[in-house]
Amino acid sequence: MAKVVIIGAGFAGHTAALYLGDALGEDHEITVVNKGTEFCYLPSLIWLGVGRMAPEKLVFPLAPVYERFGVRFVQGQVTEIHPADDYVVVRPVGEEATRRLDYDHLIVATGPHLDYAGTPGLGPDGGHTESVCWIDHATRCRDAYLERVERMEKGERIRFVIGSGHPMATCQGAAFEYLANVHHDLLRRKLRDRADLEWLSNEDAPGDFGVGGVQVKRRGRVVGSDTFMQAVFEDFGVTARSGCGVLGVDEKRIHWEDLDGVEGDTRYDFAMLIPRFLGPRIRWVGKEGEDLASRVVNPGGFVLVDAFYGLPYDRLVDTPEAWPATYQSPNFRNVFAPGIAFAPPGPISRPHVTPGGRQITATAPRTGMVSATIGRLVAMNVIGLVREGKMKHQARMTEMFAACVASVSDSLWSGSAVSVVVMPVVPNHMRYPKSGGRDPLSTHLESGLAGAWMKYTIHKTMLHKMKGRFGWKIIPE
Amino acid sequence: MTTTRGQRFLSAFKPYQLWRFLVMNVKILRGVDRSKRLPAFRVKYKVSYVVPGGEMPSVIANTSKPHQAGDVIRLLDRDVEVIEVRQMMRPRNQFTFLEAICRPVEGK
Repeated sequence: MAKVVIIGAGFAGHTAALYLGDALGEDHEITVVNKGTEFCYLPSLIWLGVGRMAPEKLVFPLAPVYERFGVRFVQGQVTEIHPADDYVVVRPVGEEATRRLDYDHLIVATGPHLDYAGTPGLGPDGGHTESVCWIDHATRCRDAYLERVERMEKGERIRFVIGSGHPMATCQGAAFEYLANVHHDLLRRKLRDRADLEWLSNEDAPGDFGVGGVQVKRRGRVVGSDTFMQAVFEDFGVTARSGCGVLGVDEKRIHWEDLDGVEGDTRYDFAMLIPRFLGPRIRWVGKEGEDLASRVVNPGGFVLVDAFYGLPYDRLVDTPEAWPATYQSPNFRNVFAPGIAFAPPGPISRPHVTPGGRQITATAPRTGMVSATIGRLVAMNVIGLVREGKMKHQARMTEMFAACVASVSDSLWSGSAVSVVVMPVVPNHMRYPKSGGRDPLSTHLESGLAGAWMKYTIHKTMLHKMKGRFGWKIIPE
Repeated sequence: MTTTRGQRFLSAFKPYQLWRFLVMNVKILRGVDRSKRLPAFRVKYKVSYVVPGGEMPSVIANTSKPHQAGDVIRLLDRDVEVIEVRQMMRPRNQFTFLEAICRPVEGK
């Protein structure tokens, strides 16, 4: 009987647990270790952050789903991984003592460690800014937002600053969605004229989103996502400031440095800034108790997998095979890291260094659809290893399709969303040399009411899939 | 670039948006289908075995499993232990090029 341990129950971990439970749950031991008891559908947290969706519509309990799939569930935190001895140390919630869990295959799908401490003054816990990265934070963000709305109703003018909170932050798409929803919510409340909205981001141009932007052909001419986003910001009356790495936040101002090395600050009354993502804070321990981190993870804590690391950016863009295919650790081959936990071989967007030597780059996003797709792939390979002793699947981000629907307003009658469809996620300049590395037939960018319908459809169908309900397997990740 | 009145009208015109909704669904399902049909895959490792000291000639061989330090393998009728594995150059499609530094196992 094989033992598979999955750390984390987000998009990657939960998807892997469903496929593994479905295929192996009856005859093998599949265990999921997660800090919380619920699955949270993160892409809709932006609606919670403006008070347009109740928190209970975004979560469901994991234990009943796992019971149906024959998966063991342990609520707790993994404190140590012993990859040379094939076990993890878990501290279950509410218990002082730790527990040892042995495994034959380990899936590290922890998601990111939200590094608020990486920027002084950032974050809702002890900092001055809000965040929509987790349900508790989004709930606090909603309360802070509604408090500002009350002040605006009394006649006060409020300055909202939304974007990324670190020179190496990622997930600008979520920040843009939040900005757009704030804009529309204020319009709906007839308060937009009392608000100043500012976009502050570490992307080198608006619309980069950490994937190097998107170029599509429309009516015979090529339109880039930068031009598209500039038009959106102009429409919304938003001041956009890109290429800014946030260095610190105090009670009234956000301090930043731009790509030219010029330092400045922005006054704010309400700020929602996405922090830098780091790898999981777990100790990797060897046979003699030595620290194995340098062999297993990169300095950011992300797990090293079958990628080709160390290539300079200009060579990386011409080497699609440098991106990992199986997400398997090269040193411990029964360890896999799908989703945000794996270390990418480099950024997708061109990196920038200021004259003072500070790196300001939108780092590679691998959330949502990408995470779930990799989670499924890793599960299929583990199933192959357990049943036949071999892996049969691969998916590099240079071959992987992804869709991202950025909600602008949630109404199904008058709402809107920006729909971005990219094939592949990481531009593959060898396969598509004439179209910026992307398949021109599949890659797509548009905005309109259809996007709002799409966002709502994805919200409903993904929750249905994640609950493992009828037909869950045929719903795409 | 600014959004024209025509674009603004179309982005809220429901019959047109229903058409766009269907187009987007087709695009997404087509892309997912392409992504899902993952090809059968087996990495081939081309390994250059080097035994320093001149006792044994170097050997180049293909293998389906990568070696790790500590593995004992049979090479030219002798057992050798792998002491280090290096990637010689970047992977090419399904080929990974490795160099395995080995030493003869004592007594064999």
